[in-house]
Amino acid sequence: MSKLLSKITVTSIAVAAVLGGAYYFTSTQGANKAVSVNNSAIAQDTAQATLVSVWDKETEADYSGTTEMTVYRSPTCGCCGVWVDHAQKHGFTIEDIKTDEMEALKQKHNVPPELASCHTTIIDGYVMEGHIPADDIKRFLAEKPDNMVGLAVPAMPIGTPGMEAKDIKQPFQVLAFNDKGEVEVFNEYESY
Amino acid sequence: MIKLNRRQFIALGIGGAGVAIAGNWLRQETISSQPVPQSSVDLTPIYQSNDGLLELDLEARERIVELAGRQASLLTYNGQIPAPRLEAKPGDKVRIYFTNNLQQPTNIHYHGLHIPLTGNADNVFLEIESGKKLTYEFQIPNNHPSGTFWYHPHLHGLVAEQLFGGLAGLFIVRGKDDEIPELKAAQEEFLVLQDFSINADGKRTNSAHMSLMMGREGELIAINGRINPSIALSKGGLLRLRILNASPSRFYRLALEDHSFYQIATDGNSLSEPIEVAQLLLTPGQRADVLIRGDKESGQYSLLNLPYDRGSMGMMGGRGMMGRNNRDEPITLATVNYEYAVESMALPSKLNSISALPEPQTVRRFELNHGMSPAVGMAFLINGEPYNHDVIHTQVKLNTIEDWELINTGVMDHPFHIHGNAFQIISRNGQPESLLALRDTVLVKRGETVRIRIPFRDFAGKTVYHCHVLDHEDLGMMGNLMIEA
Repeated sequence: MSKLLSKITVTSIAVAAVLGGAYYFTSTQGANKAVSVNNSAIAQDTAQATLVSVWDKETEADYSGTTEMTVYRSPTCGCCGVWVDHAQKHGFTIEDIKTDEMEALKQKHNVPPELASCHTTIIDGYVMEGHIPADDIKRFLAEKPDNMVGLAVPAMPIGTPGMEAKDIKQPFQVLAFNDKGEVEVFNEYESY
Repeated sequence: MIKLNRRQFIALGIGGAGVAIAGNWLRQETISSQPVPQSSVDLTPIYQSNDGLLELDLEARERIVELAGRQASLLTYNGQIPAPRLEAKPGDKVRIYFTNNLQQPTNIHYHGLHIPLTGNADNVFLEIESGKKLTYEFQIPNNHPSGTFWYHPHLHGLVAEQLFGGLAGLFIVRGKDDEIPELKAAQEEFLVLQDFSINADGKRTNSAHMSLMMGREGELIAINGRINPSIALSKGGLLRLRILNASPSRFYRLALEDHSFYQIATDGNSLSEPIEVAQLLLTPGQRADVLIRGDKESGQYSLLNLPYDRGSMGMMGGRGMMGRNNRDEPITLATVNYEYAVESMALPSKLNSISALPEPQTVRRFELNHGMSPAVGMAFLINGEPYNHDVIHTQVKLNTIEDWELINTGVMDHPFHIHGNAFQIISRNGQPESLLALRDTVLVKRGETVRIRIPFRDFAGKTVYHCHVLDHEDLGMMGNLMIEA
């Protein structure tokens, strides 16, 4: 398996798409000017607009497959929790298991190391690795492509569900993989 | 079944970054004093001060340069990778006629120099638009330490990209420590460590395709723009290496085969005496000056970069992530050679007198981590907040001393840099730090608490502190520091 794995690079998520290199965070806190003398965290202004995610809209409305999934994540992983919220918004029921043994767990479920991300999801006997859009999971479970054991969005591209950041949307691919660790592109997001 | 290997990826990536370059890279420049290439390993031009004035033209521009035996389109100062080395003495005036011919705004930070933080000096809030000029002008204080400092862009949001393009150079302050007889007699070499990611077309990999969360790393590691340069030790058997980590994210853990390093300075600040170390860990932004005694068998010795795990995002111990496929084996970065086993000169016994800083007036805490911030989404945070241009995060008084407790609650290492004033490490995880040293960048490992003591001296005004993994800085791990007169 490792021989084939060596042919996959995580940077393969990077197909042509071009994003501007300049990233700025624009300020929304103009009215919230404060000097934090003791440097304790300043409470966020509740009136502040919360980020709207492009991933909230649903495109696989007719899905009738399995909706129960188990998500394994490290207790310290914040973005994993935001991805869990994303999956729930799209109708999945989540058993949310926090564990410090993520590395062992990924090995147990044969996640190719090159495809690893933070959280690992098991649904209908398949492995779903990382920040995969819920609609891709639905389409995969509806199609159940031959020989494929799961999907992965390797690493943590900024902009993916659970990794939303205001101005940054890194292009990414959803990769399907088989039990030999070979991959094919299942979906591709160049701009979203 | 598509199997994407690196070669294919490179081919696919050609459509990526596209900034026009060709054409005018042969353009003549007006230069106040003619630069002269110096030693074997370092062909970087240098500009030295004359009669108390260091004056030069400096242009930032994308250029085609030779890197690792091929043409690469990089971001350069005066067409050089690394940038020209600047040298001045305490008390000198510095005047840099800067032109921004990049396609985006930029500015210059004089990393480690203790100079004004406002006006046209070490002011990171300046924004020099594409095509615009600015004259940087400042005086190096008479009592400034002599040492290894550097300059690089510091416009928030673009810092990682611009350094990764190649924009970085040494700024050497020559002073009394250079007059120590053993140092004066030693062979001096400068090593600027940079990494690059270049596709088959010679273009830089687009930022969007980098692992921004981890901090971008490139597959090419160059010293002074060259792969595995040779350092020939010729005289006296004592080599003085002045090393800068100018990479935006990559850490270097250096070792020289069969030799120890005798470290004489941390971040440009001399130690009180040389200390022997087998390895040297340099985070982005850090510098080290070391002596090497050429007292072994004549021959060639590899300067190695040893693996270092700076953390991951809770994934697989970082293995296989981000194409960082070289983390498990040492890489040769340069080769030191000498033909004769020379009777090595003695090391200096005394370098500088450093006294421990007095007790602080104020103690603050800074918690470092990444996370979801309601306003901006995924970001890197200090005390739960991403950087906000409009907020003064920390206000201190000039001529006071403070202790800052830096607490890394995250899963990645964060090197913490404060502009303008050097500090001392007091303790790590409650263990008192035995080495008395001044630094401007300190590694706070994941899970670690580092207490530093910092005097705010001479210069009032607004500046910043931040993580020197520059993607983390660009993604929010920075704070505004107001030093009130």
